[in-house]
Amino acid sequence: MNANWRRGWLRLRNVFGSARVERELAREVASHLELLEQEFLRRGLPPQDARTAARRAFGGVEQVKERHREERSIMWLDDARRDLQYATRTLRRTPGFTTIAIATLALGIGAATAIFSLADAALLHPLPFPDADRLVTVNEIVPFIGDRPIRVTAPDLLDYEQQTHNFSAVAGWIGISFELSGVGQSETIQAARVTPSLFAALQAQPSLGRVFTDDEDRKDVPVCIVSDGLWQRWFGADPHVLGRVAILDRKPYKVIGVMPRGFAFPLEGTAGVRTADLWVPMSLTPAERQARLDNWSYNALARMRPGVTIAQASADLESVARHIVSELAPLPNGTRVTFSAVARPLAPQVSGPLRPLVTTLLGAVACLLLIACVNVANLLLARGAHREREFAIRVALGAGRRRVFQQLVLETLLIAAVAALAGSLLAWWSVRTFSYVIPARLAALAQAPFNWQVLLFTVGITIAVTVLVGIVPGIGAIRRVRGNAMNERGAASGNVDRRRLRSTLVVVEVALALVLLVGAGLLGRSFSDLLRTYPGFDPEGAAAGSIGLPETAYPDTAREQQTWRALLDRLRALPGTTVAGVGTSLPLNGRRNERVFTPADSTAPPNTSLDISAMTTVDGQYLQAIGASLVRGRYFTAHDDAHAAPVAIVTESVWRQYWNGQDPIGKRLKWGGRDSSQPWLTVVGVVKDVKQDGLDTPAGPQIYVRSDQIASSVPAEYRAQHLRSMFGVVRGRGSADRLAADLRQAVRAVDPRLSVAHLEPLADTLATSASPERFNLLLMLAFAAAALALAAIGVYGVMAYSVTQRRQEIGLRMALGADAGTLVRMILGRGLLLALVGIALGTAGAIVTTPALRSLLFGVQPLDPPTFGTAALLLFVVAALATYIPARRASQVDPQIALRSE
Amino acid sequence: MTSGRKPKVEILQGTLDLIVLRALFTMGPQHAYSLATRLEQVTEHPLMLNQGTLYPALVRLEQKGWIKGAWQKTENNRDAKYYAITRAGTRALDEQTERWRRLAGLVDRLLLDES
Repeated sequence: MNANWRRGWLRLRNVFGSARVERELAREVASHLELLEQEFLRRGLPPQDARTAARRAFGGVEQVKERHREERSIMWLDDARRDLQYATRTLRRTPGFTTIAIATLALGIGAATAIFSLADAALLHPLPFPDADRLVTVNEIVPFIGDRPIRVTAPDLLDYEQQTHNFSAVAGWIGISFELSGVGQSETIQAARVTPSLFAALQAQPSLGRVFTDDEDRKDVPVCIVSDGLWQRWFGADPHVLGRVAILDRKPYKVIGVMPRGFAFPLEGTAGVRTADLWVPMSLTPAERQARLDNWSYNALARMRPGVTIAQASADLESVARHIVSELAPLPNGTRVTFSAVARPLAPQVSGPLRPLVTTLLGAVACLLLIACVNVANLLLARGAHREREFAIRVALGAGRRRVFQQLVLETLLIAAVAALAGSLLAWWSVRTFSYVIPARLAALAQAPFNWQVLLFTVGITIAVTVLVGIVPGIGAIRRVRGNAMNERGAASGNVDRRRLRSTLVVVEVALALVLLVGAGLLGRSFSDLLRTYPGFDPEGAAAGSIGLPETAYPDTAREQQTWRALLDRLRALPGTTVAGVGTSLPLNGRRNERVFTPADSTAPPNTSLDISAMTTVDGQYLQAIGASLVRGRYFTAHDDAHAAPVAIVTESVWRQYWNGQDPIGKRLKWGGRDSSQPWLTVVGVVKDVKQDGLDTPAGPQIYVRSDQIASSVPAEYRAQHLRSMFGVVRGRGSADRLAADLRQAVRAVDPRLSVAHLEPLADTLATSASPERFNLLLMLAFAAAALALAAIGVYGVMAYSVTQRRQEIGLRMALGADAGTLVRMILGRGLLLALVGIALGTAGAIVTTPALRSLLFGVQPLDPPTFGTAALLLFVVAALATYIPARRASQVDPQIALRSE
Repeated sequence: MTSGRKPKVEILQGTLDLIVLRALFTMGPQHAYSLATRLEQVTEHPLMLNQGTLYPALVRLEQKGWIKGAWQKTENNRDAKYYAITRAGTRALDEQTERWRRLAGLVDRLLLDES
């Protein structure tokens, strides 16, 4: 056995690099022959005969060597290695072809790999938690608010946690931001209040320390768990961080745990959610625990027990909800409030918003890859024509058609493999390099390194590409070898076949390119429409950031108001500032507070649901600072203070909805329902709608009020959550960056421990809000441009080749008196015919596929005729150019030379 | 190589290896030429079609570690590769000889019984 193993290993080793063994064998054989020759000479043969006799006695030298090779090595492996060597050599001999083929496929495979890795992360693995398919959100549907599932109230959350049976854990969380101070300059961090059960629900363990206990939650113990990022950044990756203190809103919290790298919760992607850097116990206050039917702001997340279905989980929650409803007292006016509860899988909620984007990109990249394949197949066909004689000779020499075919496929595989390698590098590099254009919610996912699924995908498409690209031209080449390419007629009939096949490929290519062009065109139009929509504010020459006043340092309204006033005074005193203000919301920020209100003398038809509007409390010249445009009436003035009659400014939506056709100035409204004791506010101005969630989302109704006029009457919860955390906005001369720096300086001058979060020019806020669309458009444009270039190369290649093939015919025509113009028209006509057929097919393809884009489009219909027309025209012009160059060359053929050439 | 000749080689293979080992064991290190000549003498007629046929057997035995080749000078001061049997080769020779004897005895008995 030992001897056989040894021999097996040596044979394997001889597959690779047996040059030394070969040399040694040659030397040994030579010496053997010499000895034999000597012997024959000794026996008296003349030298000439001695040599011949020696060779005869030895036998065929080459046969012996071949038997030796078979014996010492593994033949089929050796063959494969030699084929590979041959393929490498062949490809190296035509560097132009090889480079173009590899570059084309690398582009296709690279783009496909990059997009697939995004899609894999976004759609297949959106949740970085174990057994994530058992995670659900708990939502309530409250008919008097609306029919959409919403979050839950604090007391309901507790009931679901305690009274359900189908869940291994029910957890609650709510986003919050903290001022983190203690070391160096303070900063604002994103955090979450979470119930201790959250970590059990996510099945996440800290990498250091522990998670919260129920006791800590109940007793409101100031402890916190920090993210890996914060641990590194704020605590310098201190291994003894446990027990150290983080000062949150000027109150010390003890660090009891560090979550591992890669743990992210809550997940970006669910609307308006930012990943937290720190977690504190939920520790619901007594007021929160009693706020039944009041504040639906609590996110509930649960893990279903193994084997439990979504329907069972929902039923479990619903029975708890029914119990809660049955114990509710009727409202003062006698109506009974009712609501229901549902479980909804978490994964689709995270991946859902990305799905249209990612599937579109997958489709586009598949088109591009196909075009790349078609192009390379075309190149291979042209190359096959030149090599038919080579194949025929190899077959004649006894190579076997199978072997020649294998050789061809191997060459293609080699091209595809090198392209896949280059493409993977390209994908890896581009995902890293262009990460800044990737929208935040996708970028978080794209951080994932290449995993085995992506690798498998790349290997898979490489093989698919080889089959697609290599087999057809390979079979064609072999079939023609059988027809004996060594004689001219066989070759000629082969040319006709091949020309037809290549024309078909070009048509397919043009059609695919048109689909991509139309897609990119639609996204482009929709993007320019998006940028042209009026955002409701003036993004130029202004900057904003959010400032939070910690409760411990600012315990009462007076202190708060005083601080905001001091800040505004400082801002106004700055030389570069024209206007400054603070407000509880910021355009396109998404943060807002929606409240029930009652308009007086409404012209709207009476309905059963409540009237809801976003409420923004402002101070200073907030509306002027964001650049809201006044439609009617006036802005707030310094006279609208606590002593004056309370006033409001509404957006056009409110005017149109409630006082349509009437003069809005002087109309009255109040917060709360009809019986609310809130004071009536008088409308003094109307501004254009200000976009809140995104450029593509219609702005809902908004009402602006003065903070000093409402501070005394708003609920404590509103004061705590909104009036203590405001956006400061400055507008003025000079650069927006300068204004931002001024804002930060003014805030620090008021209180050196305060920090400004998300401080940026308003123009950047606008740009960021359109970044998913921009990303989408950029990628589609890149794909479409690549497709257009490949299609042009394809058309050019086929036409140029056909001109070369028809040189004789062209020469003959010219000799018979055809003028250059006629010739150009003849060839141009053929190229344009191909382009037109491709465009027609592509239009049909685009009509079928573009409706899938609908959810990504803004203001443009999927079957937008101008886009279709422009794309077709562009492709036609490019195809015409690609045809014109070879046509022109044909017309310059010298008939004498052309006729003599064969 | 055509597959038609394979069975014959297969039968020969075991025997040829054994004969080479035996020759090297009794005569000491030999080069391929002297080995071939020796084998022709021993069998009193050309055992093999030609001397080159020896090479596959030599490389096979060398890869198994049973013989070892080294370049030396012949008595006429020419370079030749001399093969010597190794210790593993000697052990293998004993085993193979024993096995061959048993096989030959068995075949003998079977053939005698048959007739």
